[in-house]
This record gives sequence, structure tokens and C-alpha cells, in this order.
Amino acid sequence: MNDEPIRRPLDDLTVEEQTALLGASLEVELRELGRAGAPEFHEEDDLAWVVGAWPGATVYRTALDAGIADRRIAALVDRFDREGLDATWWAGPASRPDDLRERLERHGFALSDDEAGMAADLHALVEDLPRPDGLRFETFGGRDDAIDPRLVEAWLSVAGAVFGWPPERYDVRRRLYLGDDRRPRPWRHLVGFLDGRPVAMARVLLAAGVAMVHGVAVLQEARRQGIGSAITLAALLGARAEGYRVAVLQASSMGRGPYERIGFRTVASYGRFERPTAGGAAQDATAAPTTVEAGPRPGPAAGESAAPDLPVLDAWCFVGPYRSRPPGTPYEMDDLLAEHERLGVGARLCLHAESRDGVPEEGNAAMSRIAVVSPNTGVIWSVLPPRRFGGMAADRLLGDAQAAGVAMFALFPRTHAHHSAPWANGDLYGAMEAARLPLVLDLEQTSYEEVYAIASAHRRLPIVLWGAWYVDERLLVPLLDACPSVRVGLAGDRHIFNPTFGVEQFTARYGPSRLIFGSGWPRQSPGPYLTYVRYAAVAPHVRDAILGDSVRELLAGVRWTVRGFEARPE
Amino acid sequence: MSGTRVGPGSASPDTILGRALAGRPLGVPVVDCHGHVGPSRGIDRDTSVEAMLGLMDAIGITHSAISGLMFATGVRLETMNDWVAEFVRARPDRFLGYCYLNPNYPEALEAEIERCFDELGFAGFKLHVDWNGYPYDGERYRPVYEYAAARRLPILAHTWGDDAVRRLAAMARAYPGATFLAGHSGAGDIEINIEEARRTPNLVLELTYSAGTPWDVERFVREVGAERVVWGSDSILFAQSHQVGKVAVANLPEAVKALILGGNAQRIFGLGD
Repeated sequence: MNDEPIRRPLDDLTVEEQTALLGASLEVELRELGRAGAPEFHEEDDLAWVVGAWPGATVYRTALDAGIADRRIAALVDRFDREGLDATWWAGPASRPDDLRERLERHGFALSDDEAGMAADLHALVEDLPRPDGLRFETFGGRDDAIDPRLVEAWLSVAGAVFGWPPERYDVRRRLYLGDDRRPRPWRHLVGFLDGRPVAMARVLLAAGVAMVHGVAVLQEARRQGIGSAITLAALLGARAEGYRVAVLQASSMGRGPYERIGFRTVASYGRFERPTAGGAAQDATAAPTTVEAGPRPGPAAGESAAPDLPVLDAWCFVGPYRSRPPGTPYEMDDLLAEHERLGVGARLCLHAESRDGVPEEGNAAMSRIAVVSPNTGVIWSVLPPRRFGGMAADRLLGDAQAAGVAMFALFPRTHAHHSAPWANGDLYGAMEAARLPLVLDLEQTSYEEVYAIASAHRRLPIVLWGAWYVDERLLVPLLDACPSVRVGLAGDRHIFNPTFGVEQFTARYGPSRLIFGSGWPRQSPGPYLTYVRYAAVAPHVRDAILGDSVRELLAGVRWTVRGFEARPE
Repeated sequence: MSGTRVGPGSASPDTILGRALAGRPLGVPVVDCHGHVGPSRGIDRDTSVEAMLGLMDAIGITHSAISGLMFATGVRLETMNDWVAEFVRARPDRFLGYCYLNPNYPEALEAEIERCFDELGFAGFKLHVDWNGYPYDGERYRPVYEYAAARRLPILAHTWGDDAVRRLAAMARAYPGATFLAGHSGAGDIEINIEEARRTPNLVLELTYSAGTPWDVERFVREVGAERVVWGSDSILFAQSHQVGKVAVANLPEAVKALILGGNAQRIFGLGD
């Protein structure tokens, strides 16, 4: 199980290799949990599933031929129903056929969550994150000859509280951990103690040459202090000390923030589809295999994903006089706030129009002054590239942005007469990548080729792309397939993204985090974009992601506190 | 502070605005005057009758007036009208067919007009100057205008706030029996739309335009009157769910929104008679 650690940098691994590691992480976790009893693993050429590792049946690998996929799915569903098994079916990037998600829905599965498959290079971790005083960690497992039962109890107390385990499940886990006679065990468990009280847990599996992070959770009352990030970081540092270079995990759609702050980046989307059994002998605690572990899902954010009711966030607004204003139309910050309030939008990211149409520095300064007196308002700076006569060095520009708590940088290469390609702006993009400061571009100002070039050269640089046309879907799909860091905004300067079934098609393929609501106000109204998302036939959490949660995650990943969004999600 | 935006609290749940922001059916008759069906360049999505009805039901769209997609290069006009006929046949209570004609094949016009209206039961014409490269005031279109005027049929014509609007408006004044819908009002030079609509009683402004704003809608109502504005989406290119937003969130009385969304179109298409 403990394969030789992969020592190559993460950037040297192809997306396919990273995806394979994520698939292995899921399978290894299933097999480890299954050790508590006698799970039934079914391995076929085109399907792999297990009964008894998690509650019900779990299909974890799908490589079906399109011509027979529906029949195979139907047959398996029929079997699950006959056996009274609830079913979980994972649809990841390697799953086949390509339209597996749609097929699962046709067979009665519902998308429960779109989890993010993430990877990190343990030699490029962000280690200086704030954490509460009085926080310390204890580890058990691995090569330990003996395990302190008190640590196991502390770990179980957190898991039980977060996941609501019944008493018998504690016993299953006690036996699983204390009775594991392998040396070294592939797993290491961490318990986080705050002022001596257990408040957090994490689990790392060392297998397939990488560190697989699972089951990160923090007690409700201890959240929003950075403890989730801190215990994950501690687990990763332990793996690094054992010679590991690469870590992978799956995070719930709303739980990526803590991991992005450490240095994880999203590799692929994993749809978790669930279907309750239609069979008469539905499972209950006694009918199910007694070995079943209703443990945390492999998503380390399990138990942390209960997002509070956050306001809709308009991620692309301009304020102040602008060049092409139709007479009589609004443009001031008060106008925007009133319109947002009328339409139920509670937060926003703004640029000053002067920073686009005139002198960027003056507009940026004006926007920061306005934002200070405006509720829930983040600032996007329009910046010029360092490589020009009199240009400001990238590190100084980033320093100024940090001091101002800037949310993102926008470039207007066509208006401001400069390149957007990485060969010209690499130092700026590199500094932004290190700070995880998102780059904002409008396709009116750049091209798909240049966006691809930027995203390929700076793979950890989040990119928000506005101005995709409704008819661009054959241009967008290859870009989004190749560049997980690129997100598409709905608005745009000249073209906008409003194709029929656009929300449904793109979120089905990429998960909920790749589309972003923004209006381009005041040239356009937030209203049509809101109705576009509200009427979409997608799950509520997908709408929430588009309408603000995804942007909040991006902002949570920025290396400094973003002004207007100081309360970071745990 | 500029402009005349209203303050908070106007989105009562039972208003058109409140329903739209909640993603619920709008609760008034809604007619999409500018829809498309069939395949098109650059579009890979479900265009079935069932898919379209699902969208319409979610928003509360009672009828969609549809034509084939002009972007479908190389197809015969009969094929485009056949796609429409498939929808009209399947749900005549929900779809209204536009007869698309290409004036570059004048020898085929008469027969196709007869087929569209006598056999297929269509409800109006769709013309597209940019696709055909033939002006709306050209002689070859005269049989179309005469046919429409004699039967009081609507004609939806692609315009972009430019010379096409002026030529279309001239034809509207020459054929007062027909109703001319200026497609994409608000795109291009909005002043031309307003000027021509003011002097042409049977020219109606149709709102399909991806970047159209609520304040464009408000201005049209202010300048030419609520009875002269109709809603359209350009579905299945633009989403109906997006295009309906500019009317739903406009600062207009409920009765005015109801006219734009469906009341005027019901009158023009003779629905509910």
C-alpha cells in the first residue's frame, strides 16, 4: 500500500496523472473503511462498486461504452433496488461515457454535490497562515507501535459530534484503528486541541505515492478561526517529513476555501449522485451490513459545508462616470446600492470606471475611497503591466494591493494598449499567482488563445473571464477542459454569456464553481442575469455557487484579507 | 445621485418582479414573439419540443412564436419551415409558426407562402435582411407584404437600429393592414427605433437583444407607449430566462409589463379571440 513517494513537482504531473491519483484516493479510502467489516467489492472492466464500505452501494469507477451505458446503469439500479440499497455514484473526469451525469439523472439519481478534486505540491505550501493561540495537534497511526487510546477517543469525539454518529459506530472505529496490526499503517490521524479540548480532526492516507487527505472536520463552535486549514497543513507537513511531495483531496463544492489557502488547486470536478432505494427492503441500522461505516465522505470538508445564508454577490460592477453613458442612465455608487437592494443583491465587487476609461491609478484610488463607506463592497483594481516606461514593479504593486485589501486585478489590454500574453506580463502574473489574486479579463480585451497561454503558464492563477458570447460554447468547452483555473462570468463589455441551457450544460460538465454572476453594471442590469440563474434547472447549491459562493471561495484563497469580505468561510 | 431608480422593498413576492427573482412562473400571459427552433451553427444543445416546453413552463410562457435558425447555413427554406411545423403540429396550443422566406429565390415564394399558411397553419412571417442581403423595401418582398396585409398577419423582421428599421417602417406605412415587428429594438441606434415607431402606427418594437437593459424598455414605453412594445427572446440562442429579466425588473407598472410580456402579442396574433 505504501508505494514509493512521487518526488516530482506537482506541475510535472499531467492532469490525467493527477486525476488518476484522485481516483485512487477515493478507492483507497473505500478499501480502508471497508476493513471494518466485510465489504463486497465488485470490479469489472467497465464498472467498479462496493457494498458495505459506506452506507448502501458506492459506484466509484465508471468506464462504460456509450452504446450500452443505459442498460448497464439500469441493471445495476435494478440490483440495488432489489437489495434495498441506497446508492452513491461518482462521476469524475475519467468517467465514461462523457454524458454520464445526464444518464444518471435519467435513471433517478440526483446530484448531491459537485466536489472539487484538488492537488497540492507539498514543497509549495503556504505555511504562515494565521491560527489561534492555544491550538496544538497530536497524531496517531503510521509507524507507532502503540496508539494512545485517549487520542482515539478525542478523534472519535470530534467525528461523532460533527457527523452525528450513533454509539455503535464509535465501537466500529475503535476496533478499526486500535486493531490495525499493519506496520506502518497507511493512515495517520490528527486531532486538533484548542486550549486542551479536542475540536478538529483530519486523516491522511499514504498510498499510491501521494498523501490523500480525508475527513477534515472542525466542531461547529470552533469554526471560522482557520483551524480547518491549520490541521490540514499539519497533516501535510507530516507527510512531507516522510518524503511525500504531492497531496490530493476532495472538497465539497462550498468547502474548498481552507485548502486553496494552503496551496491546493482544483484539478477536476467530481459529481456525487445519490439515489434512494426504491426497493421494499430499505436499509436501516439493523438490516444493513453491520460493518457499514457511516463515516465522513472522503471530502475533507464534510461537516464543514453548511454554508451560512450569504448574500448574492455581483462580481462585476463599475461605478463613476463612464465614457459611453446613455444620457439619463444611472452610474453612481448610490444608484448601484439602490438597484442591488431592490433586486436582492447584498454584496459586490466594483471597479471605478475611471480605472478603465481613464487613468487606472486615479480610478483605483477613487474606488477604494468609495468602498470604505459602502457595505459589503470589494475593490477590483485595473492595473497596467510592470514592463513599460515608468511601470511599477510587480511586488510593489502587490504590496499596495495588499495594503488596500484589493479583491482582484483586472487588465484592459486593448484599451490600455498592452499585451495580455504571459511572455510580456509573466512577472505580474507570477506575483499574482503566488498571492492567489484572481486575474480578471474581458474577451473584448483579449482572446481565447491568450487566456489559454496565461492559464497554462500560471496554473495556480485564478482567472475570471467575462465577455464570452452565447455562441462561443465550442470555444469555451476546450478552454475550460484544459484550464481548471478559468471561470466564466455571465456579463461582458460587448458580448455576454446567456445561452439557452447554458447554466445547466456548463455546471453539469464542470460543477457549480466555473460560472460567476456579475452584471457589468451600469451598462447592463443585474436583473436579467439573476433571472437567468434563478430559472435554471439546477440544484439550489449550484445557483448559490454562481450567485456568490464561488467568488467568496476565490476571495478566501487570496493571501490577504480582502476588504469588504473579512469574514472568511472556514 | 443620478437616474430614477426606485428604492428597496418594491419586490413583493406576488409581483412580476418578485416572481422572476424567485424563479417562479410570472403569473400573466407571456408570449415570446421571437423564438427559434432547429439546429444552428455553434449550438450543441437539446432543441426538442419537450425541452422547449420545460423552459416555457418554468417561466410561465404561454406561447412561443418560432422560426428556423438563420444561422443554419446551406439549408433550404422549406427545411427551416419544416422544423417549425414539427413544433406547431406537436403543440399548436403553445407554438406559433413564422414562415421564413428568402427573397433570393423569388420563383419559390408563392408556393412556400401557400404551404406555410394553407397546409402548416403558420401565424406570421419572419424576414432577415442581414442573412439574405436583400432590403426590406425591395420589390421581391411585395407579395409577402400584400399577403400579410390582406390577412392582417404580423411580420417579424430582423433589424439592428439602422437603415433596416427605416426601410421596414416605410413598408409598414405602405401596408397598414399588417403589423411589422422590428426585431432587436434597442440594439444599434435606439433613436432610430423610437423615431420610426412614433411616425408608424403599425410598427411595433420587439425587444430581443442580449445586452438590452430595463432602462431601454422603460424608455421605449415612455417614448412610444406600452402598446407598441412586445417581448421576444431569440431563444434557442439567448435564454428566455435571461431575456425576460429586462422586462420583469423594469421600473414599470404591472399592467404595462403584462402588455409587453403578452397582452400586446395576444392582440397581434389574435390569441384568445
